[in-house]
Parts: sequence; C-alpha cells; structure tokens
Amino acid sequence: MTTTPGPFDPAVDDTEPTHLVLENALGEYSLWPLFRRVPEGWHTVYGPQTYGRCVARLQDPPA
Amino acid sequence: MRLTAAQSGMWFAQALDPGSPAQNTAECLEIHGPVDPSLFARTLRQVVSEADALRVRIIEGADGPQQLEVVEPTLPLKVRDLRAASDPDAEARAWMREDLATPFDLAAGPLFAHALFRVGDERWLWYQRVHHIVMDGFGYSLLARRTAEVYTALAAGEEPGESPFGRLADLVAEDTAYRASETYETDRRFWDGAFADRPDAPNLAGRTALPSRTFHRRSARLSPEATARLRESASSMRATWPEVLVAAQALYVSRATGSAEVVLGLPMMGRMGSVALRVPGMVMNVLPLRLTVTPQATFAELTRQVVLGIRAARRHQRYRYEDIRRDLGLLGEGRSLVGPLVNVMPFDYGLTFAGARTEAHNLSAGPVDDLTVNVYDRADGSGLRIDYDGNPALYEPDELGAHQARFMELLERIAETEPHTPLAEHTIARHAELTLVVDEFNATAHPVPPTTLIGPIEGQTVRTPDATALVFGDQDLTYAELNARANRLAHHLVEIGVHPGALAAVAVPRSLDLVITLLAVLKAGGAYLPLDPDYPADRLAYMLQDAGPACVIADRADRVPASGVPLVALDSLDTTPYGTYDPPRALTPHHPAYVIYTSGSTGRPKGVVVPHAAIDNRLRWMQAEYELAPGDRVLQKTPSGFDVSVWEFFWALRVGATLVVAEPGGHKDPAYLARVIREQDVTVCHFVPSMLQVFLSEPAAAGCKGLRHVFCSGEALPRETVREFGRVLDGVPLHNLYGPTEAAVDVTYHPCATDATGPVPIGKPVWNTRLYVLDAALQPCPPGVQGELYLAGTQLAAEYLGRPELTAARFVADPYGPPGTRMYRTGDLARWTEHGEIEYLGRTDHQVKLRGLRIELGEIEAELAADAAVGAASVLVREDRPGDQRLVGYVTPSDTGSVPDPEELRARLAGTLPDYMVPGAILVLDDFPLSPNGKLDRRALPAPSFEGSGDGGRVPSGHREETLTRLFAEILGVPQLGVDDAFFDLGGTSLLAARLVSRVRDTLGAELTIGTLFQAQTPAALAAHLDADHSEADHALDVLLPLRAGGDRTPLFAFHPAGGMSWCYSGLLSRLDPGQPVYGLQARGLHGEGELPSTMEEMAAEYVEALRAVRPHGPYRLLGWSVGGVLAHTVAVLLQEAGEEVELLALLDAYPSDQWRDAAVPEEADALGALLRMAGYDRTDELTREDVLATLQREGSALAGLPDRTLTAVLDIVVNNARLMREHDHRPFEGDALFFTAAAPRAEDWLTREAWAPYVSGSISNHDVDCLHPELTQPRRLDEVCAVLAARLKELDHA
Repeated sequence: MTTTPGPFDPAVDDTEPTHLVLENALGEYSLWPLFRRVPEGWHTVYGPQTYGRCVARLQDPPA
Repeated sequence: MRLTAAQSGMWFAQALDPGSPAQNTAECLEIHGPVDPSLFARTLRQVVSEADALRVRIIEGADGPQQLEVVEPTLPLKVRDLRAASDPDAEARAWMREDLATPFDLAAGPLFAHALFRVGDERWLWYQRVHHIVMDGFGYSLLARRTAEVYTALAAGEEPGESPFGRLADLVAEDTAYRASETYETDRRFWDGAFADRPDAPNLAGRTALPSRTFHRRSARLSPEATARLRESASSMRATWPEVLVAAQALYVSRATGSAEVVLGLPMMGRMGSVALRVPGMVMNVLPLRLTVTPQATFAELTRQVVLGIRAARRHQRYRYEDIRRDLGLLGEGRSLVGPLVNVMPFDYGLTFAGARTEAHNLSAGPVDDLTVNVYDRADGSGLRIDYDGNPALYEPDELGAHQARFMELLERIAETEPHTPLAEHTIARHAELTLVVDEFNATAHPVPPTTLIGPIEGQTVRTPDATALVFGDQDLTYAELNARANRLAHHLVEIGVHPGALAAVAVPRSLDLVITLLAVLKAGGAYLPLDPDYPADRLAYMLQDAGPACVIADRADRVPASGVPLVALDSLDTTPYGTYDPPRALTPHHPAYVIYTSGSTGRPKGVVVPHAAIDNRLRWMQAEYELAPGDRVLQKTPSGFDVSVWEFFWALRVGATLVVAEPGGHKDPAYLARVIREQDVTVCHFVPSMLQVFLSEPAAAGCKGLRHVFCSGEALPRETVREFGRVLDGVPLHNLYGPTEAAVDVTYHPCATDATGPVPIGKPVWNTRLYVLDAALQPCPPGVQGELYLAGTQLAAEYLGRPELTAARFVADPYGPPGTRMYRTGDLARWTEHGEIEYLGRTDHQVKLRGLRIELGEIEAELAADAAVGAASVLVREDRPGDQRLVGYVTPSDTGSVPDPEELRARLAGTLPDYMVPGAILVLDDFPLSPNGKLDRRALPAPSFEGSGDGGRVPSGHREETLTRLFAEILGVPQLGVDDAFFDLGGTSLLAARLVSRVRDTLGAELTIGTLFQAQTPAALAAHLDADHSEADHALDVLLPLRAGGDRTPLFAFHPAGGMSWCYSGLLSRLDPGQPVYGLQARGLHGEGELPSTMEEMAAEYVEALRAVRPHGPYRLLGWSVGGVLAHTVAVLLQEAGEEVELLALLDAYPSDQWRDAAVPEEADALGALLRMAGYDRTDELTREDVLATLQREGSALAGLPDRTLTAVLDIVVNNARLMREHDHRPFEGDALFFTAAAPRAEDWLTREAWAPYVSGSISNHDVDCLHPELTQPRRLDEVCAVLAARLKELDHA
C-alpha cells in the first residue's frame, strides 16, 4: 500500500509546510492538505505550516 | 551458434509452453497502390536472404539451445485476391487472426511467415508474422524499410543497393563481449543499487498471473488536437511526448492502485553499438522505471522524474530484464519487477512501395504478462494510437476498456492543464464516472422532522401505554410502567445537574434498570456515557476523568472506582418522591445523545459525541427500511459500550414493539441465545459476523425460524457465513450493515442474497448520507478502484470529546458536499461496485477488528512500550489457523539490561486494557525483522509456537487414530500433528473443543462429550478410548488425574475443590509452559464406591501416597482452589514433616479451616451449588439435581456427561468435605505462599487471607483477580492467574 503519508498525515520529517487549518461558519475546524484547493464554505485560519504546528494550533487556539 | 542473452529468455519462455503462439509478433502494412505479387515475392526472397538473423531454426543441443542458419529457406508466402469477398478487409483480418494463433516450431523453422492480400483494386495488405526470438520492433522497421527499398528498385528495373544489414554472428559476438565486459558489471551494480529494496510493482489487476496464449486488445486514438497540445506541453517541459505519456501512465497507475510508488516497464531498443543498429534481430529489452507519484508534486515534476529515470536506464539498457529479476531473487518468488509496460513506438515508417504510400498496423507485440500500453505515432497526422493489450487471465475486455477510456480522458485533461499545477488537481475518473460516484450513488436526501432520540419514545408511550415495552427473564414492563420509572429517575438526575449538553455516565449491567437508566438520562436532556462494568478500574477511571460527566449512575456503589464524580447508586436510591411525568427540558437535535469511547491509536481511548439528529436519522431510516411493528420483539444483547446497542435499545421503544433484554454475559453463549430467541419469540436481532458463525454451528439455531430480520455489522461478513445462514435459517432475511461509531452506528446497508457469490458488499448509503471513495489526492475513485472511504451527511458525530486536533484531522472539510460541511475519514479501504454499493476491503492503518471489537494496535503497543524493560513493541492480528484470529505482541528488550517477561507484560496489560485487547501471546525478540528499506517486516515476525510434533511422533496406526489425527490438525489449524500431541497443549480452546467433538461425531459416528477430551487429549488416547467403548469418564475419575503427564519440569499437583474433581484445572495447560507436567488430585469416591475419608489428615495422607507414585521425592509444587487450597496446605505440611521440600504452595481463594468452623455445614441443596461452582457457574434458580444437570448441559459443561452415580457421589463428597474442613486443625507450613483473591464482593465477607498467617511461616504474596470465587478457573481469569503463576514457576525452574 501507500508508502508515503496520506493527505492528513505528517510528512516523513515534517519540516516543510504541508497543511492548513480551516474554519467554517459553525466554528468547526479542519486540517487540510496544502495540495488541494480550500473547499467552498471554509477559510484558512492558520498555515501553510508543518503538520505538527497545525496540530499544536488546534490543541491550543489563540484566545 | 549460441543464443544471445535476449534470445535465451524467450527460448525458456517458449520451452515452458511449446504449443503457445504467445511469442508470435505480427504486423500488417497497408499499401495504397498497385503491387506486383511476383515482384513482391522476389523482393521478400532477397530481403530474407540478406537477413541471416531471421533465417534460423533453434535446437536444443548438449550445451543448451543453439541457432542454426537455414541457408535457402522456402519462402512462406500466401497471396490471395479477396476483392470478390463481401468485406475483403474483414476476410483478411480473420485469416490473420487465425494465422497469429499458429505456433512456430522452433526446431523446424522457418520462424517467419508472409501473406499478401489484394483487398481493393489499388489496395494491398502485406502481413508478416515472426517469432519474437528472432525479431524485435526495431528489427521490423529495418526489414520493412529494406523491403520497400528493394521493391521500389526492382519495380523501376534497377538493381537495389547493397544490403545494409549486419550479421547475426556480429550480434552474438557483441553480446558475448558485453557479458564479459566491465560495463556489464557496472550495469549490474546500477540495477542492484536502484532496486535493492525490492519494491512492490503495483498493477491494475492487483494480482499476477502467467502469460496466457493470447491477449485482449482495445484500441483508441487521441484526438489530433490533444496530440498536438501534448507535444507542445512536452517541449515546454523540455521533454519528449513519449516521456509525457509515461508520466501520465505513472499517474494513472499510482491512483488506480493507491500506491505512491510505481514501477513501469519500458521496452527499450537495447542497441548501443553500431553493429546492433544494423541487425534486424532480437535485441530489445524491458527495463524497470521506478517513479514516486505524490499529490503535491506537479505534472512537470513527475515528467522530470521520467526524463531523468529514462536517461539513467538508457545508459544501462543492455543489462537484461531477466537478469535483474534473478539478481533480486524475484524469480523464485514469482514476483514481478514491473507493473504495466508502456511501449512507445515512435518509428514513423512513412514508407513507399514504388511510390505507393503505406500505413503500418501492429497486430501483436509479443507476450503480455500483465498489461502493455502500446503507443504508435504514425505519420498520417491522425493523432496517437493507443492500444491496451491485457493478459486475459487478469483483465476482462470491459475492464481493459474502462482503464483505457479513463487514461484517454486523463491525457486530454493533462493536455489542457498547466503542467505546473499539483497532480492533486487531476482525477483518474471520467467525467461521467464522477457524476455517478459523487451524485447518483449518493442521492439519499430525505426530509426528516427535527426530533430527538427520546421524543418519539415518549410519543409512543402515549399511544400504547399498556403494550409490553421491556422483557428481562421473567420480569416485564409496559410502556407506561417503563416511562414512569424512567421519569422518576430523570427528575432526580435533573436535580443533581443533568441537563441538555451534560453527560451522565452509566455503569449498570444488562437488566431492566439499565434501560430505565438510559431513558432517564435522555429524558433529563443529558447524553449518556456507557461504562462497561467488566472493564479494568484504570480504564473506567480514565474515562470518567476524561469525560467529566455530571454524575455516574451505577447499580451499586462499588461498581466504579472512586473518581470525585457524584455517584448515583440505584440500590440505595429512593425515587418514589419524584413525579412520573415527562420532565421538561430544552433539548434540541443538536445536543449530544450519547458519548461512546473507542480505541485510540496514540494509546488513549477517545469519546465520540453523537448528536440526537444523527441517531434520530439513523433510526428513522431503519424504521422506513425494515418496518418494525407492534408484536415485533428486538433482542438487546450488545454491551452498551458498543454503538450497535444504541438501535437495539431504542428502535423498538419508538414504534411500540418489545425489547427483550439478554442476561449479562448471554451475548457470548450461542445455546442461550437460541433459547432466548425461541422462548421469547424474538423477531429481530444482531450478530457480529464471527459470533453469527458460532451461533449457526449451534444445533438449536435452526429452531429460530421466528426471526424476521437478522442484522450483521462490526466486521467483514464472509460469503461462507451468508451461505451457512441460508442453510440453517432458510427464508430469514439477513442484512449486512456498516458504520463507525463516528457516524451514528451504520451508514450503509445491503440485503444478503444467500445464493450470491463474491465478497458481500456493505451496501448503499442510508438516508441523508453520502459516501466517497477517495484516492491519496482526495479525488473520487471510479467504480472498481480502491480508495479510502469517507462519510458525510446528517449522521456524523459532533466531535471527539476534548480532542480538537483529532476532531479536525478526522472530520475534515468536504470538497464534494454543500459548502462548509464536513466528511469523516474512516481509515477503511473500499471500492464502489457498478451498482452503487460499497465493498469493504480492509484498513489503511493499524486499526483492526477482532470479533467485531475495534482495536487500535497502537494503543496496545503504547502500553507495552511503557514497560521499562521493553525497547520497542509491535502488535498484530495473526490467523495462523483458519478462522482463529489472535492478537500477538512482539517486544524487544530496552537498554536497561532487563529482559521483558511476557507473562508480566500480559498481567500489566490486563490491568489497564479490556480483556479483548490483551494479546494471547507476547514474544520477546532480540531485534525486529526489517525489510531492505528499513521498515518493520511484519510478514517475517514469527508465529507463536502452537505446533504439533509433526513427523517427530509415532505414526497413526489404525483407522481411528488416523482419522482423529487428521481432525485434530484440521481443527487446530496445524499442518502436521503426532498421535501423541495433546489438544489443549496445542492451544485448543473450549470453542475449538466443541468443534472437534462435533466433527468426531459426524466423521466417526462416535458419541463424545468435551469431558472425554480432558481424559483423552491425544489422538492416540482418544482412539483407544473409543476402541474400548469406555463408559464416559472412567480414568478421569481416578484419584490421580494426569492432566499433562509429559514434560521435564517439576510437576505441579493441583488439589480438587469441594466437589472432589480436578477437571477445572485443564485450563492451566495451555497457559503454562508446555514442559510443565500437571496432575490433578481427586476424591477417592468419585466412582461411587467405597467409604469417604473421615478426616482431612486421612485424605491428605492418601494424596501424598498418590503423588509419590509419580514423584517419589521433592521438591514439590502444590496448588489448590477453594477446599483444594486447604488440602494443598495440609499435604504440604505432611510432606515437610516427612523431610521433603515443598517449593511452591499456591492458594486460589482458599481459606483455612478456622474461618469455616462456625459456618453451617451445607446440605444437599448447597452441595448442588458447589457442583455448579466447580463448573464455574454461580447458582441462579436451580433447585433440583435435574435443574443443575440441565444448566450444565446448556452451558456445554464437561461435567454434563457424568454418569448418575458419579453425580450422586459428588454431592456426598461436597457434604463430607465441608464437614472435614470444619473439623480440621492446621499445622504451620514452613515457607511462602502465593495467594490469589477473588476480589469481587462476596456474601461471606468475613473470609480473609490474613487467617493463614499462623499457618504460613513465610510471606503470603497476594494477587487480586477481579471476579467471584466460582469464576476463578474461567479462561479469562486463568489468564491473570497463570500470568503470575507461570512467572513464579519459571523462577523456580531457574533457581
């Protein structure tokens, strides 16, 4: 099977910006891979950043 | 002359199947103009005479195959005028097809054939067929060019120029020189280095096959416009159009196979020197091109990879494909080096025959192993022609056509797209397929009212207050009664802070109270959080701390660990002051209805929060689809911690039907389930597929014809189970459902036809639900192509409780749904069928389902790795015998120097994880096996040893031994087994024992009980038993019962509990070292004869004598459960007094005589209870001996097969033992004792192990086992006991 990371996995070394954090009108968040256009109804609130930083931002959003 | 390396490969391939025409290559040149057939024949004779490489036959000599020159062959040329035929071209094609199916005889030759057809006044077809061993594609072009040249000259009356061809001998010499050269070594090293990790070569079929004798071909043309744009695009990337085509094919293969790494095969000319370029012969080679296709890379970047890869390959193109496979060791494994071949033929013949223009058509390019994409660029400006040749063993013509059509559309889109956009923007699905899989298959919109899970239940109560809502055993409640009781509790819950949005944990075993409590929580507006009382305290404490519920409701106070969460203990709560009316509440469909914890990959379980709207949709769909009605009775048997239980609990109550609640533990017992279904007229029930399989093998299952619907979910449903269902329950509808907790139980459904074939689909989406099968670029996969399953729509859970990062990574933006909506990423692999159903294909990650229970292996691995002695840990599910899946753990030692102890690790896991997550075996390895690219090679991890002695043992003698040996091996799933291999040593379980007994019954017609297996555990012993036609249980009732006589360790003697029998210790066998002998000591009077002993001392003395018969002197190892513990202690003291060493005294929940002295001596009625306890059951309502026997039979107890006189004897023994124990006076034992406490609360709360203190000089080391006294010898408890016991025995072995 796939030997490289999936769309919602960190890159092998996770040093490059690969992901975004999106938000919709309901205040729900989504991790999103940089390689696809942001779907309608969502906007970027963080990134492009490494996977790790996106996760950190989701765990600890700014007040 | 010998063969070249290139020819040798073909010779071997032909030798494998001499009659095969697969190595025929053929071409047809269409000539638009007049042709003179005799001149043409003359031309061919001249060209053939010039091409000596063509003019050979091949024989097998003493030193291998040799090619011999045929100096003047007869020219095989057929000339036909087909102008009179109704369709001359068709006639010609039919002839060619037939000719193409004719194999050449290599030894006879010639290895070529020609035909010339006149299909019009000015139109001719020149057909030639050549064996691939003498000609390749480039060779064809040399021959065709020379033929045109000679014909044109002759037609003009001129002498043709000198032959341009090189000699075959030169080719052979060049080949010989190459193989001895340094270049050869350099090339070998290059390919070795490039493929050292032996990458998988994914292909579109997903499997491999030998080449067939023929192939399917589908032809298509790319439009001239797209062809032109591709050429432009190629040059803008500084690449050639064939390179762009290879890149496009790599993209297609990568997406269609779900693999980022692809290896394409590229046929290459192989002609490096000037000699080879002039010889029309067989030189070509196929070379592997390895590419990585990621969604973020651009098409230009992929093309660059192709350009560089081809450039490198070309430098080493003379090294043979067969040699690379051999070097990598792929030959022996039958593995292929490459996936599809892309064969680009840019030879633009553009030939003329005396001025007449021509068009070339390839008819066969040689054998097709898998798939060959042939691309021709002919000179007529009509666009690229792309032929898909497929091996019929792997591809149906339609599949081939579907792949081709998608590839053609992909090429069109690539031609139109800016090459610097990410590959993720490309889908491999055709436009029509996208509409199908995204919209048409998902047309599930259905309006539902904005209600909650509880509202419709309250509505139903008003409609049918007197209907029976709930049945549990002999208790039942009407809708009105249930509602009133739930309301009273609900008012109390409201008072203590349960409200919409709040959680209330529920730790109540299956009962009326459980249903009442769940309803009460919902009525109060809260969401319920089920806590399975069987889970370890640590896990319950974690869930309480993680979820922070407003309260925890339990049937009694000691059900849950102290947590600071307010406790509602139902057994001490008086709800009568509260009202029976529905409590008012501000509950909306968006509020959470329940929170269920699932296994988490990072080592922490996570709470899935499911809103009312989600589960309400699910139940409304279910009602519309299956129409449950008053009179229907739904069985509630799934533990509340698993979400299948949600529809079981609430569906019936919303529509006026009746809910039948199974006993706690009843869901694991097929005989019980069959009885409940029959006796309670159950019409609807659910099974996890593996449990359904067990259920169907229960004879009583066939009596459950009153069922109207049986639902399956939780794991893949095998087709064989569906068929078996049809045989046992003919006419009962069976439904396969699928869904994760994260999408409100189920999102797909499929009615199972019992006569269908192939994998059982999980089906279509339910109401207001969309399913997407997406590839690595989040692009939809067309039908038939595997991808990851995503779910969207009303049923999605709200979140993982308190885990925003996990929520945002699993519930992600949905690019295909309404703006701003989410989709849930399941981690399941799936594909669409043509009919809009989903087939489940496995997992993308390490989550597994074992008996329907969802397990993250990562969670177990994290727990193992947390042990200081463990360096690294890996856990997998093995199926070393068919149908018997087991969790197996692997660990390596850490740097601390201490070696991990498997038994300690298992004990550790049992303390924190639910039973089903504790691996059955843990293996300690020095290192993990790694694949060449440094990853853990899971396939190389060793199986735990449950192996038979194989040929090491005595061979079976006689029909019975032979049959039994075969049946043992079959049931245990071991390839070989000796007649002296014991069933339980080889991992036999009670379930497997039941299967064995039934197979023996069917095969040999011999009546047998599981009990017989205890006394005759080997095929030899069982055969002897059957031969002697023993009355059951003969030797099994002797004083000394050899449970396992073999082994080199110090034997363990286990003393019987009150009933006098030691069968209960058979469970020790598979849990202790196979070299550990185990003997049971049993009461003297079991045969029903003789006096019973009159003192404990007398009994003990007799046992000392019995055990000295097998072990005359110490050290001794003694163990006893219950009364057996008292006996073990007494025997230990006697042995010590006789000067012997006793190195182990293990007491299983046994208490000294002093503690019993004042307790009443039991009567026969109590003795019945003791008999049940000995079989591992708590007494419920059995009053008479007949009741007890019925229970034992129903539970499949080994004791059920005992003759009457033995049962009578057992009852006497129980009473006698109780008396002796009360009269006994203990003397002190010098040494330590190992103690196991059945730690669940008991009626005899005065019992304490401290009472041993005067009689044990050393320490008493205690281990609590969370169970009741009778449960201590049940398998899962024995796991815990033996984890400690085995460790202690091992220490003694090493001391």
